[in-house]
Amino acid sequence: MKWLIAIAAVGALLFSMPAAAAKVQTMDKITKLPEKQDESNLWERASSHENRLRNVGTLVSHPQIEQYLESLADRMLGDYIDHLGIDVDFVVVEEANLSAWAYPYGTIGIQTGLIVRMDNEAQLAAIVAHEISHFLQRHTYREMLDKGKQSFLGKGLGFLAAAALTKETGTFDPNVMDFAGDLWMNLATSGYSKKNEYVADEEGLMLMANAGLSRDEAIPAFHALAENKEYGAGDPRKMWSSHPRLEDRIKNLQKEIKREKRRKTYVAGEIPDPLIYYRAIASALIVNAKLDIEEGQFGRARDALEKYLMVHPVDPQAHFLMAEAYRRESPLGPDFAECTNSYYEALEHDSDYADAHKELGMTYRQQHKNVEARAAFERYLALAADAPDSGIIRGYLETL
Amino acid sequence: MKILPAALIAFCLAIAPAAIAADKDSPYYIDKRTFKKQYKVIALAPIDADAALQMPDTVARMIEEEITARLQKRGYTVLPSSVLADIRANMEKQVGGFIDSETGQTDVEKVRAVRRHAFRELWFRHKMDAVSTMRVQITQADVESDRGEWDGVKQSLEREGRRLNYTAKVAASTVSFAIYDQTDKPLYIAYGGLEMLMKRVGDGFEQIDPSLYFVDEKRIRKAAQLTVKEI
Repeated sequence: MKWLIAIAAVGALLFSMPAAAAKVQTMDKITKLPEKQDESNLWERASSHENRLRNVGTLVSHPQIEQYLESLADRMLGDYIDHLGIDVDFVVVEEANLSAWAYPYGTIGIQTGLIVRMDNEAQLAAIVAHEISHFLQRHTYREMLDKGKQSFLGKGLGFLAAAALTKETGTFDPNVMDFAGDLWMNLATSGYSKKNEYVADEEGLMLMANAGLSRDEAIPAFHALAENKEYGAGDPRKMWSSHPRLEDRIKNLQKEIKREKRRKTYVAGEIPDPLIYYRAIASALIVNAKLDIEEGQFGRARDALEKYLMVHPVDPQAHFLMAEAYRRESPLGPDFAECTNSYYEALEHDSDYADAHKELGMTYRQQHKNVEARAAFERYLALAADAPDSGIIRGYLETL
Repeated sequence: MKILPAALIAFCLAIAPAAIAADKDSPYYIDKRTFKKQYKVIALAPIDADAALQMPDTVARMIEEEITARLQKRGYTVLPSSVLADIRANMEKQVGGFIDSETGQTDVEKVRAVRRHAFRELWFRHKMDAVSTMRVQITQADVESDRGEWDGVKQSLEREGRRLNYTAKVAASTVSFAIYDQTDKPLYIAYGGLEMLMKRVGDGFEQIDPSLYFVDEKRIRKAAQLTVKEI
């Protein structure tokens, strides 16, 4: 019953949009729910995955961003959200690469790497709307009926969750891995059919328009995904890479936007202020900068930190991470000016920032500036005498 | 016919995150000629192994010998793993050991601190171009009718019971050898299959007694050689 309401509501929503393109397969065309038990089983498996992912704890810890995303989804779905009968909600996953996926019951998974690579709300909306469309169109279920997909061995999010757990705890929880072969995840990670991806792209544009957002911003959003293909080559967690060629999808989107602009009813949407967006996603910017630094993506880390510092200019941690991004990119120098300056910036906003003193000391030691190194190490030990590495720092001091 | 139990799938896949490899066709993450031109002095980190394998020290020595010999033959200067091991040992003393005197447990934070500082100290003291890590780890072998194949080697699976036609993924050990630059960026990652860790009993698999691992010196040395054959 819930689904019948949802179908009717979405059908009405999509029909009401003047921009609706004829070739978009709208929900109103679904006249009955086939294989109800199959679909119910699919939901259960997906739900089990989501619960396990949430229980990982450190992997998901951005309730404010989830709320922000929910409000964005509500705006795109407009009044019809009340009639949908199913809430669209979000789970934010701390992972540096760019990925998003739709659970078949309306929860959207989205990684911090993707959130921070977007430059404004409209760009994020393009991705979110695409995933909402997969849910509205029941693409997972539809493709489940395609027997070709059923034998695919998944290496998707179970893999990712397990990897994250291993990273965090040093131990592996096979329970997280156990559902790696879940069919729905195979679809989400190996990509839906080309046709369904195009449907979701085009329907995504309509949802953006519904929220009054500029559809042109879908292009840079998808370009960011395309750039991600260069990142982490060979990494099986790189989910977007196996969707239809992003370049082709971008071309299709450009054509679609051009067509819309020729319509008399076309209304150009808003390009929201990036600063509002950066403020909303601030916690992801910091978290993802750390992840990028760990993965050696120093330029990306600095990009995220620059966005963060636009809205939180006196945050010492952001300046410290900026220094780390510079230092780790060129740990042996010869130029230490940028990292040194950023450590000092961090200390300007928090003179008791122990790690900033320590790293400053390490940087001076690397340059054989022993007097400065000694002062910085002594300050570190005064602030963090019981730190796990305090003995090592004392050892350095003896050699200066 | 598939006879792999679900628990074993989990076991086999568990090691996969650690085994994310470079392009299957080439172990190099950068152009091979650039690598040979830019990186001349390579420091070895002490060999590490998955705890479940209970690897003896003699195996670590064999693997390091094989890898060092190949690198030197190819014109590289090699800093032995004892250099980093000495730095680590000294730092372990400086932090007062890894065992928390109150809890009797390993202080993971101290272990991490020593590991981090030791690598930085290695770079500070020695003008090498790259650092390498070696690890013996659990991976998965493709098995077809008791014949396993993975990371450049083949091995017959021990079996109890009648012959079966099947395909499965079964736990095996492999040696990994990776070279990183000063920013921890991988330059080269390669694997050499070592041995199967399970046997087939009827229509299921059982772990081989760990005391029977690492008994074939030839396999150990071959696994190490495979990791550096592209050097």
